[in-house]
Amino acid sequence: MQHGISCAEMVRRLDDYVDRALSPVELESVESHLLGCVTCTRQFRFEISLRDGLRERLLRIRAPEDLLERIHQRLASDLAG
Amino acid sequence: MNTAEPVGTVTVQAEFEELLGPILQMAYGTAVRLTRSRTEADDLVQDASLMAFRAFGTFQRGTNFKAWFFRVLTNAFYSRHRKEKHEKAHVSTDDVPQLYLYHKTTDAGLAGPDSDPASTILDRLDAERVGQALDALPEEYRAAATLYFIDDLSYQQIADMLHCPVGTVRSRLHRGRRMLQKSLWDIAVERGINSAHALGPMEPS
Repeated sequence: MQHGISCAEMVRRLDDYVDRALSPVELESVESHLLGCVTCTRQFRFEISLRDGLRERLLRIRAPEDLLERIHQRLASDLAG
Repeated sequence: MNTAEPVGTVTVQAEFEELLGPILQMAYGTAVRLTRSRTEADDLVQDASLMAFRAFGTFQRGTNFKAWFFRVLTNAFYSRHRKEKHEKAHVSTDDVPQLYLYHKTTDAGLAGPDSDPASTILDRLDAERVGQALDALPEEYRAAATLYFIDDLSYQQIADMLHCPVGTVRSRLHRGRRMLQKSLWDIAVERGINSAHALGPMEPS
């Protein structure tokens, strides 16, 4: 047990921490534990890095360049009835 | 509060497209993951745009257009793909332990104490392969994870789009994240990049 909550409790809070869904009180206790625990810090950093890396890669898929123009034409046709 | 201008004018179309333009890449990326097909994604985004345009009069100006549009997009997806809701998953839905990928990468010696094992593995998987890992999840997990990862939406916003309770979204995201980690590791193993000695030059991304 370090800094109020145990490493096992930290793992149970990991997903909500990554999703920024912890309450302010829970967040404070997690951050306090991270200040003094190298293992939890490494694990939490891994999950954050993985989340950001996945997000960045998934956003690399580009839409066809003419998609907005085709949508424009379709909406204009719809207006014209 | 809605503006006084009636829907159906060229001015309203310009206003709609001005709001749609900045989120179009995100919408297309989401549609690719939901449909698992670029062709179907193109059709889905076009159909959702038309549906949203026709309903633009109900959009409250000044509120979150992205959340509103993605709700239309997910509704359009489910109305087209309702029959596929019970499709077979490509990855096991058995519980995967917490920190699955962390333990796999560190046990395999993929990262030293000062390096980032998440980057070590992701740097060798391009966007298509990361997409494939997400595609392998069962539909209900894939949808929640797609809206979370690509669109950076909150539990509540995702719950509104998927028409399910916030607690369900939370558990799907938590479980889906672990399933995604297993899927990523399975791809890494298939690609032979699951051990320190196998690490060669990084794949271009």
